[in-house]
This record gives sequence, structure tokens and C-alpha cells, in this order.
Amino acid sequence: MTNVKDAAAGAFFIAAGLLYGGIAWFGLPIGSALSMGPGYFPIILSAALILLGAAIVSRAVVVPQETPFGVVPWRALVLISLATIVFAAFIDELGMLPGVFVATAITGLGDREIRPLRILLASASIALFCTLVFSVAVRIPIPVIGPAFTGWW
Amino acid sequence: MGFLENLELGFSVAFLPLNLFYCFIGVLLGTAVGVLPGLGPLATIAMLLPLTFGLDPVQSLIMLAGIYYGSQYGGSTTAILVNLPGESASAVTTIDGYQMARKGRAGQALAAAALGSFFAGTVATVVVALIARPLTSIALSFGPAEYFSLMVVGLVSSVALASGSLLKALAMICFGLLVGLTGTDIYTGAPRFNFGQLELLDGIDFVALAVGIYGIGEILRNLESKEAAPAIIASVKNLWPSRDDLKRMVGPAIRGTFIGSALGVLPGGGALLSSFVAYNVEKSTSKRSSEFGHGAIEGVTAPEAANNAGAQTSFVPMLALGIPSNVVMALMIGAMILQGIQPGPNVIANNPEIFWGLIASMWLGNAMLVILNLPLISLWVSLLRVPYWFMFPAIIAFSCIGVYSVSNSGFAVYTVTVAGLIGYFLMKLDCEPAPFVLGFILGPMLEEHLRRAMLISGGDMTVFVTRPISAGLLLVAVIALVVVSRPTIARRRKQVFVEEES
Repeated sequence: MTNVKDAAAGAFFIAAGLLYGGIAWFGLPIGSALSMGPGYFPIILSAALILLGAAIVSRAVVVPQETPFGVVPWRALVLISLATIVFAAFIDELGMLPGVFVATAITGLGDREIRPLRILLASASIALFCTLVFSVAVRIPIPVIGPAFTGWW
Repeated sequence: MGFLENLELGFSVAFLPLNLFYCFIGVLLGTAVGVLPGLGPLATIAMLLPLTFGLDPVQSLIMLAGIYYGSQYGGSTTAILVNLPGESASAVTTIDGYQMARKGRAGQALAAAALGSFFAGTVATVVVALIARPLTSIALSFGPAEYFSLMVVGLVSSVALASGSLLKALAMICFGLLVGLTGTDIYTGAPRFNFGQLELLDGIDFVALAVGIYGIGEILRNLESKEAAPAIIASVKNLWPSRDDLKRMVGPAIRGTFIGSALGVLPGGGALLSSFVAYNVEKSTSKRSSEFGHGAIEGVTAPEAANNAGAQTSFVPMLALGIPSNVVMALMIGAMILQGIQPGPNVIANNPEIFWGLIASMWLGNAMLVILNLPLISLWVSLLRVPYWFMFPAIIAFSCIGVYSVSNSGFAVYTVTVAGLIGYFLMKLDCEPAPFVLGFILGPMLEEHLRRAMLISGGDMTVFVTRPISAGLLLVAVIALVVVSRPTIARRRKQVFVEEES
């Protein structure tokens, strides 16, 4: 039986090598060994990466699977990614207190069982803590309440 | 300057009230975060790194070093009390430490870990101070060809000592080197691999990358398994070891320190390998080897001494050569570069206060660990009770804010997302992230030295094998590769690291 994990890893490395190698080959001056262009070293590395990827794939056909892939916590994965993206995109607008609250609440939804009270409690206290530590004490230039809320009161 | 004068300079820097304060804060925060199960030194340092940005270089390095050994000690506490290694280096400590705790001797186990670590830290500080300087003078005679070969040795041996498949680790190195080249080519100013993003012209933010791989990756892995039953935390009663305990600790502490100091200097070595070797040495030489695995105090003292000594001496290649021997040191180098210091042999000449101040503060940090940890043990125990549903949103929040504060822009936080996802899936495919991170750090340096070497030699590739030091280093790399790829060794490596996971 083919080792699916190894085959996937090998394919990933080949793809990455082709991507970086392609960019370097077609888009960057290569130069010579004496005066190397920005594409020279990347092409060597990409070639090595593709070869290693190919070796991993070909070995995967011979050597059977060793360990199972295991479960992936899909919901947590999606929600945690979403939380970081929301944080990145809106923190300047929302400000520290609401921004952290929203990001942690989204993260909290990624837990196996959703308990609204827990999430509310955790998000509120983390948001308050972060505001006190990072906005008040360390003075990171994120406003406590962001411009999105101006004119609300 | 003589050795004593240097140490004097170091201690005069380390004893400045503000520096003492940051050392203390580092040790305290490092222990607090390191105690949390599932958060090792890497995630801890990556998360707390942004806190050090406002400080001057000496203070920030002192604080980071404090965070490092604090988190390592915190990991041992968790290992002993709940049988969960917070980091891989304390995995061995769980074997006998937890058994001691189950027999009601948790206090003695903690004391053995603290005293063993302190002894090791003291010796290792002297070792670092003694060998870093001569190594630096050797390094100053290195040309670009030697540096290139040295980095190759570092990368290859990080593979040799890592677990898992050799091919995958090599591929991860190449991938890391490529990703590390993102940004602007220093020779021609040409933008590379930035995928049209202006923010990537300065390269990929290293802190964001590390937080993504180690912070997000850890959380996802912890969320994989069903919620663990509330961990049974052993209660700590009497802290002080008996006279008999102390007598049994002396030998293992000395041997552990020796093993750790020696292995820590090796590229790719450091804390993890040291603790394994020390434990196995004690187990096979002890008169009481039957007690090992059932709560032998030697089985706690030796690996703890070794991992602390190893952690400390792994600073040597970083400080003297500017080459990280493991991922923690890669993070330290990242931090130095952010502070505007180019790590390498010149640091000791240009910034002696940084170099010697850091070394002196290592010893102070270790002393603080003993003073801090034993009395505060009940505080650490209560941290162990923080439920995971509270902890993981908090980790996400701290990571996002920390990464944001590096460049005061949200862009780097996207890097966290991407690095976290790719890192997690690669881990699922049994590709260890450590070689990738080392490659990422070394990528630009490796290319620069390669190009310089070629300019000097007139494009002659044989320069790497015709210059004796460079040839010798490359030979070491080849031997290391050949040795680990031999089937018998490969099997033994697997055994060692399977033991770690159990």
C-alpha cells in the first residue's frame, strides 16, 4: 500500500520547488557563478527541493504507511484562522477592547462544545486583560476603542 | 582583557537594577507561561518576544534568556506534577518525576530539579565564558567560504539529531532556505518571491512565522484529542530533600552537567538530546537501576541538570559564530537582528557589554529560578488549573497583539495565519518544522556568504573543498549525513524518539 502521507509531503515539496524555481527561472536574473544574480541560489535550492520531493514520493510507493494521519480539528482550524484574519483586518478600526473580544469569541467557537457563557466569560476577561496590559501599560499604538465606534455615544 | 575582568564587566552590567529587573521579569513570565501544559520554550519565547522590543539590546537579550530558562524550568514543573511535559526536553523528567510525585515526594522532585538545574547553570555559565572567546578568535579568521561550510554543518546536524525521516528534514531545510530569501535581493535590489505584496519586500516577519508554526500549530494539535479528563495534580507537601536524597543527587548532577555542557555546544544538540543521554547514562550506570522508572531521584536530577546545562551552552555557537544550533537560538538571533545587532564574532569585540552581560545574567537568572520557583510553587500549581477553553483564546489574543506590535501593522498577523496552516499540515505529514525554521533564518546569510566566496574565488566552486577549514567542515557534514542514514543508526534514532512520545 502506498504511504499517502509521504506521497502528499513529497508532492507538496515538488510543488513548492516548481513554484519558487519557476519564479526564479522566468522572473529573476540568474547571472553566473562569479557574480550571482538574485535567481542563482533559489534555482539551486528549488532543484534540490524538487529532487528531494521526488525521492520522498518514490519511497512512499515502496515503504508502507507507518502512522495514521489522525483527526484534524476542522472547525477549530477554520475559526482560529478566521479569528486571526479578523484581527489583522479590523483591529485598527475596532480598537483593542472590541477587537480582542471579537477575535477571542470567534476562537472560542472553535472549541469542541460551544458553551455561550464560557465563551462570553473568557472573551470579556481576556479583552479586558489585554487592554490593561497592552494598551494601558505597554502602550501599543492600538486605541482602546477604535474609530469605528466614534459617534456612538 | 583577562577572564576575571570580563566576568567583572558582565556582572557590573547584569547587576544594574534595571537589568536585574528585566532578568527577573523574564524568568517570572517564562516560568508562568512554560508551566502551562503544551506550551514549550519556543511558543513561549515567540509569544513573549514582542514584550522586549521597547528595551535596549542588552535588556531585551537578558529578558529573553530569562524567558528561555524560565519556560524550561516551568516545563519541568508540569512534567513532575501532572505527567505532561510542557516541552520535549522535560519528557524524560516525567518518567521518574511523576512517579516520585505519586509517592508523595513531589516536593523533593521539584527541589531536585531546581538544585540540579542551578548547579548545572553555574557550571555552564563558566563553560560559556571560557570557550566562547577562543572560538570567537577562530571565527574571526573565517572567510565567506568557511562560513558557508559552517552553516551547512549546522543545518545538516540539525537534521541528524532530529527525529523522523532524513529526506523530509532535508526537504524542509531547502524549503525554509527558499522562504527565507523572500524580500529584496541585497546585491541588486531586485524584489524576490514577494507575490506582489509590498509588505514582504523586507522579508517575511520572523516572529509572525514562529508564532504561527509553534503557537497556532500547538493549539490545533491540542484540540485534536478529546478533552482530557481534568489532570490529577500531585500535591506538594515537603519541599526539602533529606540528607540521603542530597547525597544521591550529587553524582547525577555532576554527570548530567558534564553531558549537557558538551552536547549543548554541538549544532542541533541542546537541551533535548542532553536530557535523554544523561538519563540513559544514569540508568545504565546506577547501582539502583531497578528503581529507575519508579521514582528514582537520580532520574530527575541528571536530565534536569543536563537540559539546563545544554540550554545554556547552546548559546556558545550563537554568540561566538552567529549561527543558531537549535530553533530557540534561531529565535534569539532573530531578536538580535531586530535590535540592530548582527550576531557573530564581532559582537564580543564591538558590544562586550552585551556579550558578558548576557553571560553573567544567565547565572543570575538561574539563581532567581531557585529563589522564585520553590516558594512560588503553589502559584504555578494554580496556573496548571487554568482550563484549556480559557487558555487557547488567550494564546491567540496574545499572539495576534504581539505580532501586530512588531511592525504596528495587521499584515504580519496574516503571516501567522498562513504559517500556522502550512506548518500544521506539514506536521501532520510528519515533517518537523525545526529544520524549516533554521533554514529560514540561515537562508539570507547562506546566500550572502556563497556569493561573497564566489566573488573572491573568481567563480571557482572548488574553493569550498580546497580551503582546508572549509573542506574539513564539509567533511563533517557528509560524515554526519552518512552516519544517520545508515539503517542501524536510523532504527536507534527512532527508538529514542518513540520513547519520548510515550
